[in-house]
Amino acid sequence: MEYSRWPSGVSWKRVILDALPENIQRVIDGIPQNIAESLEEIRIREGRPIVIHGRGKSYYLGTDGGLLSSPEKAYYVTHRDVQSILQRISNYSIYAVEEELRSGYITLRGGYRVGLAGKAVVEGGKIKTLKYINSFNIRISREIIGVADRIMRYLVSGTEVYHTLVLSPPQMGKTTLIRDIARQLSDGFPGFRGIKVGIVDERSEIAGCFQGIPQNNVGLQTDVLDACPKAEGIMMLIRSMSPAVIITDEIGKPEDVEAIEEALNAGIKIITTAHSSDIGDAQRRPILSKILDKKIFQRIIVLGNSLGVGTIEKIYDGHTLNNLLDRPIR
Amino acid sequence: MVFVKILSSLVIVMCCSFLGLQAANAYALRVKELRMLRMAFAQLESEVINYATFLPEAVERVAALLHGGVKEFFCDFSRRLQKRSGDTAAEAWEKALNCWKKHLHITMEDTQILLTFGKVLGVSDRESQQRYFQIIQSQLGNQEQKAEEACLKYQTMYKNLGVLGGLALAIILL
Ligand SMILES: Nc1ncnc2c1ncn2[C@@H]1O[C@H](COP(=O)(O)OP(=O)(O)OP(=O)(O)O)[C@@H](O)[C@H]1O
Ligand SMILES: [Mg+2]
Repeated sequence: MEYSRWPSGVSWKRVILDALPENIQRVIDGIPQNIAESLEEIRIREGRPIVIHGRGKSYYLGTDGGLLSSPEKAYYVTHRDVQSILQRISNYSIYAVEEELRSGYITLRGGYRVGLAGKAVVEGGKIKTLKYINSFNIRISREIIGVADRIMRYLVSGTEVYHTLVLSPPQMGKTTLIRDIARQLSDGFPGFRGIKVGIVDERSEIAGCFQGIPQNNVGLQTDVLDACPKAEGIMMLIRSMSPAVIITDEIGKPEDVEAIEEALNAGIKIITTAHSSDIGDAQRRPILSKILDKKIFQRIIVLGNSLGVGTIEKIYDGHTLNNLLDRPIR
Repeated sequence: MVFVKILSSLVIVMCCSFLGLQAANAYALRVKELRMLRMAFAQLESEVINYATFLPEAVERVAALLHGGVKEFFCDFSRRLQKRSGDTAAEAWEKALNCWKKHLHITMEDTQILLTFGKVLGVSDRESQQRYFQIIQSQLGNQEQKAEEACLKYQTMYKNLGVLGGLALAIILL
């Protein structure tokens, strides 16, 4: 398993600096190269210092991006900085990112996610939007080539690919896993010849497209519909690109289920993910349970962190619901 | 000698009439520009509310429908947003407006209304954006009405003033 060298470890800078006001750009741009290469999170909170996390360590940042272990000399974020970030990440259009505000994060070009916190405006028991946003968590996601190495054999039988659902709580590696699955199905692996793969990448997280070109390695035979709503994207791929497999992240809307059934009828395999800690939990969710009841999925993978983030806890056979693993693997 | 006198008085009269015409024209142009601004905001409202188009692109699209100084103002604003040079949309709006207001014929009061609107453009959800759009359109409507009245009142006056002033000046000087 290796962290990808392409694009280079700091390609995140191009997108993320663009989302920041100039004085913070200077701070972030000044982060030493070796730390920047393995950076995982940048935390920006109003009135407080910027904190970065990577490889299990965290640092405060000085005004020139120097690493500090104590906050005294750190750069403190101003109200103006926060307003500016908000405007930039929403492309000066808060009205156009209402849905993202409700979900608590905005996705930048290339699939980088910015988590948001502020005051929730609640209407009828549901979050209507976020106000007074004052804290940002910029996540630098990286592809991990080879995370799917040890499970690929469970996902195929001869030349056939199984309909597969990946379940996990947030942040356990679903997106990272299906990205590598896409690459392996597309390029082939020992005992399996590459096939045509289609990705519907609603939030640009899987392929990390920049102006339509995948920045992550998702395979030589992979077509990506970038920034496209899932249900419509699936229909479109069926008609236009005739893939053997369609891969998409985070299903959960009723129309997603319809689109998946459409793909099934067209003889196309589906690989997708959903937030859920296990099958039992998924069965209690209205839309997920509907799909599970139909027994569409032949493999159900559950991720967790019993051996660290990205642990494959279980692989169920979708029909018998038997666990095919003796013990979790990572 | 007589010839020179006639020639110079002619020049004086022509110059003054021209100045008068320009002053009169400014009133008509203000009405025109206010009308165009109001149309621009109606278009922008539709892009923002109905299509949730991102602001830089929405402004660019609207600019394509405009002309003259108003178009230049909108183009400049959109360029600033796309370059991400200004930190906030309000700043970009203000800078663009300050750049182009000398090429427009709107009054200080009109400019102030535009500046105030710039502070809220894009920064809230659709519902409240729609309210802001309605407010600016009705404000511009009022200004337009005032401008029309002023135009009727002063347009002919300035035209005549120019010609008559020129004649008077010529008589006094010569
Ligand atoms: N096998 C792994 N080894 C080490 N780190 C991993 C592994 N899998 C994922 N990660 C890291 O964990 C973080 C979360 O991964 P990812 O975004 O894939 O999770 P997710 O389940 O899709 O999250 P979300 O629920 O927010 O969509 C990332 O920083 C990723 O690099
Ligand atoms: Mg994910």
